Amino acid sequence: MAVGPSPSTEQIRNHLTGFRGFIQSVWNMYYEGFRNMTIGKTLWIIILIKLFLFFVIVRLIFFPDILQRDFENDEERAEHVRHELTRPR
Amino acid sequence: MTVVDWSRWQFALTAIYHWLFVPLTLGLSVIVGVMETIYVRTGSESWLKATKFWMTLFGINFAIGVATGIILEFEFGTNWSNYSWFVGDIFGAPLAIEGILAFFMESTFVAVMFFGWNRVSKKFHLAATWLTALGASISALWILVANAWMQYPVGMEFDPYQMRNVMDNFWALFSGIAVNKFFHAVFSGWALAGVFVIGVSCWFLIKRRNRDFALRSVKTGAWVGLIGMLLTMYTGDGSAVEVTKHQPMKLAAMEGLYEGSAPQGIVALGMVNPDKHWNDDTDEYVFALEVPYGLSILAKHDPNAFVPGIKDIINGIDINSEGDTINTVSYADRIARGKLAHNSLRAFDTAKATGDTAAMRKARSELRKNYQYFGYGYFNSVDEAIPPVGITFYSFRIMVILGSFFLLLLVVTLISVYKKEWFIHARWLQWIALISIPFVWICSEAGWVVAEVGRQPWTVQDLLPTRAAISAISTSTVITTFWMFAIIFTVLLVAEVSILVRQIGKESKKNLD
Repeated sequence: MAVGPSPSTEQIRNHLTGFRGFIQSVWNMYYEGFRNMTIGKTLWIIILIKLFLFFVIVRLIFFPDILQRDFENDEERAEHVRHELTRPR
Repeated sequence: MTVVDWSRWQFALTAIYHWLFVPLTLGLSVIVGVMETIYVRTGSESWLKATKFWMTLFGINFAIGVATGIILEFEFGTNWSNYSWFVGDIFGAPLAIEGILAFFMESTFVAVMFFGWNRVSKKFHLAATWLTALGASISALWILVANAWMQYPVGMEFDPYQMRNVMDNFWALFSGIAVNKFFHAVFSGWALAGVFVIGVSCWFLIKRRNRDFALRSVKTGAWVGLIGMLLTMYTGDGSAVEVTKHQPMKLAAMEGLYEGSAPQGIVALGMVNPDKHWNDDTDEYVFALEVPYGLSILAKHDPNAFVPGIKDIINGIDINSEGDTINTVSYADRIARGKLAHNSLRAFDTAKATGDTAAMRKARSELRKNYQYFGYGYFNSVDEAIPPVGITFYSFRIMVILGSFFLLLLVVTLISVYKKEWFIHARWLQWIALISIPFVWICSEAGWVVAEVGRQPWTVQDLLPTRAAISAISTSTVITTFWMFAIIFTVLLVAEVSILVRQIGKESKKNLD
C-alpha cells in the first residue's frame, strides 16, 4: 500500500490553528448571540421555567415510568403486562 | 368518568395544545426560507427585513412550543404502560430517531438562523434556515410514522415470551397511511402558516403601516399557503382511500353512514341522529344535504362503488367492484377469534410455567392464527367496537368546510394582491383574513380529532383497545395532572399570544418597507 508523505509540523500547526479558529468563532456566535438578545431573553426564561416544570416537577413527581419503577427486569415487566392483558374483564 | 376516560382526555388535551405550535413551526420555517432565498438572490434589504420579522415570530413560536410534545411521552410511561410495553421497539425506534434528529438538527441550525447574521456567509445562513425547516419536517415524519403504525400495524410479529410486538420489517412502517399522513400534516402546516402570515400582514394594511412589507408578505404567504392547501387536499384524498382500505369503520363514522349503497353520496351538511343504534331502523340523520356519488368517489375513486356503512361492516358484508356481495369477517366472529387468541395466550403462559415446550409451540401457533383480531377479545358486544359517530362526523365537516373556505381565501388573496391598489383598499378582504387566523387552527385540530376519535376504541387498530392499554393507576392522580396541564398549557398559550402580539405591534412601528 502506498503511503503519502507525512504532514509537516507546519501543516499540523496550521490545521490546529484553523480548528481553534473555527471553535472560537462558533463560541463567539453563541456568546454574542445570547448577550445581544432582546426578546430572546424573555423566551429563554420561559424555556428554562418550562423545562424545569416538565423534567423536574412533572416527570419526577407525577409521571414516573411505572414499569421501570415497579419491576426489576424485563421478565417481570413482561409478566405484569401478560397478567394485565389476559385477565378476565 | 373512568381512569380510561380521564387519561384519554389528558392525552387529547396535551396533543391539542402541542399541535397549536407544531404546524406554525412547519409552515413558517418554509415561508422564512422562501423570503431569505429571495433576499440572497436579489440582495434587497426589504426582503431581509421581511425575513427577520417573520423569523422572530417563528422563534417565539418555536421557543414556547419546544418540549410540549415530551409530555405525551411521559403519559405513555405512566398512564399507558401496557400500551408502551405492548408496542415495544416499533413505537420506540421512530421516537428515538425523532429525539436525536430534533435535538441535533433543529438546535444546531436554529442557533445559526438567529445568531449567525453577519457571522456566517449569506449562503451558509440560508442553508441553515432551510435545514431548520427540513429538520422540523423530519421530526414530524417519525412521530407520524409511529402514529400511522397505530392506525395500521404492520412490519412486526407478536412475541408471547416478551409480551410485545417485535419489528421484523422497518420499511413496512412507511405504509400508504404513514406517507399520506406525513405529507397531509406537513402541507397543512404550510397552509396554516400561509393564512397566519396573510392575516397578520392584513392587520398592517388595516393599520396603514408598512404597506410594501405587508404586500410582500401576503404574496409569499399566499403562494406557500395555496401550494400547501392544494397538496393537503391531494394527500387528504389519498388518506381517505387508505382509511377505506384499512379502517372502514372510521370512514363510516366520518360519514355517519350505517347502511351503505352503490353509488354512495356524501353528506355536505347535516346532523346525525344522536339516538341512532347500528341495528335499529331509525333514520341516520336528522337532516342531510347530500352530494350524489361523493363518498364513492372519495373512498374508492369510482363513482359507482359500494361503500359499507357501520351495520354492513359489523355484519361482515361488502360489495366488490363487479357488484358481487362478498363476506368479510363479521364483528361477532372477530370477537370470538379475539377471545380464542386470548385463550391461546393464557395456554402459552400455563405451558411456559410448567416448561411444556410442545404445548407452548402449539399455543403460539394458535395465537398466530387469530392474532389479527386479538383486540376484539376484550369486547363483549359489537357495540363496543363502534367509534363516537357524532364527534367524528362533525369534526370531519368542520375540517372540510373550513379547508374549502381557506382554499377560496388563498386563491382570492393571491389573485387580488397582484392588483396592488385594489387589494390595499379591499378592507373587507383584509378583515376576513385577519379574523380567519384562529379558524385555521380549528380546522387543523379538527383533522386530528377525525383521525384519533374516528379510530376509537383502538390505541392499536384491531390489536389493543384503550381500555386494555391503560395502566393500573388511580383516577384521582390523572384528574390532578389533567388540571395541572390545563393550567400550564393555558399559561403558555397566553404567553405565546401576548408575546407575538406585542412583538408584531412593536415591529409594525418600525420601517419595514
